[in-house]
Amino acid sequence: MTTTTTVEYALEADGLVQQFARPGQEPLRVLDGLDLRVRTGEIAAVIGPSGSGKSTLLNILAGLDRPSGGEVRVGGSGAVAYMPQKDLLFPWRTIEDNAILGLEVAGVKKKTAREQVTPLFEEFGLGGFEYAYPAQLSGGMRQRAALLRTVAMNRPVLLLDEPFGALDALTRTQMQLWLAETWQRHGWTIVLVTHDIREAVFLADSVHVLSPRPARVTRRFEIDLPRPRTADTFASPEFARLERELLGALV
Amino acid sequence: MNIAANLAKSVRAAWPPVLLAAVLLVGWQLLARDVIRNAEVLPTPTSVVSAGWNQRSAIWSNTLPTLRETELGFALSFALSWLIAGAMDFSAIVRRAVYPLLVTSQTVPVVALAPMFVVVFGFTLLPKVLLVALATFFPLTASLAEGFATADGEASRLLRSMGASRWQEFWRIRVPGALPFFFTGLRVSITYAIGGAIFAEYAGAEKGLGLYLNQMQQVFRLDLVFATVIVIAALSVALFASTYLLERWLTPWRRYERADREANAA
Amino acid sequence: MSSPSPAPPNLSRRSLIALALGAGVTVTAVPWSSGSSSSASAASLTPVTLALDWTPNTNHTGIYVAQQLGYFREEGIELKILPYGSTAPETLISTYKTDFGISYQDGTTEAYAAGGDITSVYAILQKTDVAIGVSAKSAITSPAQLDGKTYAGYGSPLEVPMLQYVIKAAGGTGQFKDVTLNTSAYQAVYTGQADFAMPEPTWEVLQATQVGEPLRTFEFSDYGFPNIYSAVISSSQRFLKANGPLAKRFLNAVTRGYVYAVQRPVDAANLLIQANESALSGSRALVLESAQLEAAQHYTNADGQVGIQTNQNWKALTDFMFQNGILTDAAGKALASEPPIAALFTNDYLPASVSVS
Repeated sequence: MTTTTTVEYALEADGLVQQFARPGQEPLRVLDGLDLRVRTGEIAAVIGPSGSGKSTLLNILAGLDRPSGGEVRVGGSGAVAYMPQKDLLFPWRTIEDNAILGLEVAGVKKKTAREQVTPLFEEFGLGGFEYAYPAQLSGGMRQRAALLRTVAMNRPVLLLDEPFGALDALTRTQMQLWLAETWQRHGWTIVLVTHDIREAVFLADSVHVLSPRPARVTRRFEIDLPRPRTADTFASPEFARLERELLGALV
Repeated sequence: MNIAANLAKSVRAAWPPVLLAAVLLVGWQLLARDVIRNAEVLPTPTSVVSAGWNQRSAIWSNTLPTLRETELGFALSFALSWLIAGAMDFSAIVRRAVYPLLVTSQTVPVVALAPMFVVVFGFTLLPKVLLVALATFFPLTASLAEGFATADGEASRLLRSMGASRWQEFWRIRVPGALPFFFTGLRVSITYAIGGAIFAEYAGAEKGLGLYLNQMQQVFRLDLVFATVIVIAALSVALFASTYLLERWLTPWRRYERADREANAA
Repeated sequence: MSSPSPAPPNLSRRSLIALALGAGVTVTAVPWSSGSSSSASAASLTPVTLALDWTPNTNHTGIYVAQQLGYFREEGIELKILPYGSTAPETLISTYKTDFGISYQDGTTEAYAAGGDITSVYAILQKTDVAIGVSAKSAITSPAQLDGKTYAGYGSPLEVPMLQYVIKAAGGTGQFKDVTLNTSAYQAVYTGQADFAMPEPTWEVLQATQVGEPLRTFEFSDYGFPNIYSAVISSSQRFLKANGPLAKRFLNAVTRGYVYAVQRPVDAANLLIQANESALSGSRALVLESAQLEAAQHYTNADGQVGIQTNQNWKALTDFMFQNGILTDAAGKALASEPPIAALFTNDYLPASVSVS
């Protein structure tokens, strides 16, 4: 990944190709010329059928794997803050110590790191739980803690892999509302991978649809619903129209 | 007020096993005294206690060497287990090479090796330390290796995405994650530790509880045999209990995990 | 959801504390003074090891007398008694893990035949201390009647040939059933599971009378069987060659101890018990009786001497063992030629006078 990019785009992926060698067979081509452009400060949703190579794409964007072809450019410090599907909070660390994990790995002193994350606790609905252990938190709270950890790394792009997938429907909706509001205040650049059409439409500024394997981005939707998005947004006719369009593109 | 309530709670919890133990003791006393009437077959509990008390200085002077052997053997085992389990975690080749030998080390009976060690090393401390280490090594290493292996691959990926090195991964994920497994292995190991020392002493020792036990058996002093067995059992229980305390102290988050599981199951 | 807890424990610090404590305990457990008693080095006494063959008993009386009365210290020796575990003293002697050991004539002979570096230096018991024992209630009045009966033995290769010799000498055919039971052999005779065993006259036979199940015994020597030194002190040639004067001082103290035991058996018995409270305080009466019997009949030879061994005695038993194929080499094959008698024992390290008078 290089660190130069145009001011407009926080993340650019050009012609990503990824294939895996298979003994005695043709190599398996998972990504076939995938393009993705994410503007600074937007929420870009990536949606696609199962087996479309989403985890392969995530590994490349998170810097864990090199693509066989094409390249990724990320602005700012050049790295993406990755939030995996499972909250992966370390059970032996308090919530606060989990939150500073990314900073610690980057070499920040514990005391400094703690001072950086403490202000965020209240906003993330975790006020008072700094010294609790993950086992003491509900599912929704754990996801918020994981997101806090991801945000605390101060990286230019957040990469969220189905952050609310494991939650029940009610909690999921609450979390979507909360994220929309919190994002509004901070303006992070987010790449949101999701299965949920309603979630993609509600949260995102742009939705990128993946084809089945070998994957490319086949459609791009601009979501021009007004911001800030609230519970009322779900009921608006534009929302329903976009939902139908997106559904049409997927099935 | 709080003390009285806690005391009452402890009494309520303790009385069934205490009552059962009392009944068994009385039964044993009556059986030995009135039915069997042969101290070389079954001594009475009262004679066990009085004989043990009479010979307490002999028993005590034999306890210290056994504790010393156990401690040193176990310390050796502990150090080796972390080194070897760590090496196995870092390198797949080491793991493949070491694991079968590890399993084999468990199958070798200490009882058979002990006389050989004495012939090689004499009546010194070394053969007993080695035997205790041999007896305790496998459970520690195997549980530790397992603990390292169950480290969440996803967590490793997460840490790598944050830019962590392999070493950082080891310290931040594998070591804390392996601790609960380690304590399980520790408990198994501890039960073998004292037994290993005792068996090692059978083969050749100047002093020790195993030697004393053997001698009392040879002269048919069953009362002292029982007394020694009680001492050995008490030591083992104390060591065993201390592992729970240590575990609580070093892995406090586990308390909430169990409560969490119970709350979810409710 | 439970309420949050106060400031969390620092687990890294706790782990370090635990490790430090563990290391501290380990360091204190290591015997930095290399295990030998500091008093020995302080008074510049030479440590000498003696491995026992069983739990302390009246065969060892002279040794414990010498220890308790300070005879070894007077010779500049710090005696370390190695209790019996599961390794035979003969093995410990020939692997140089002990300087001296309690053995018995046939045991030392067998160990030598198998290639061990071992030789007998002191005869504790001058007379054979095993006899054929049957229950006093049985109808057997001569070894000849043992034909077809059951023998409870302890797995020594000498037992069966010895018994066959005596039975034939008494007029029988020497055919009997042999079951190996170890120490419970004597119990087996008490309970009638076996018809005869080989108890020690200085212990089991006395014990049998004390518990009210007396035995009738037949002495091996009455039927012409060679005399056996049933308890000896053996050592290795390597130790003796390198420590001749030390060995002599050791046996000097031992001799004094056994002379005392002959002259004052009750005091000697009490010293033995005093040195071994746990093992012997429960059988005072038996110890006293045994000590007195040994003092009267077993420690001294016909000339009133202790410790000394004769070539005649050694040759007679070794001839018997060799001719009956009992002596095997390390591989278990019967020896082709008889071991040299002079290699099996020596009186060279005994003090000038071994007379009790």
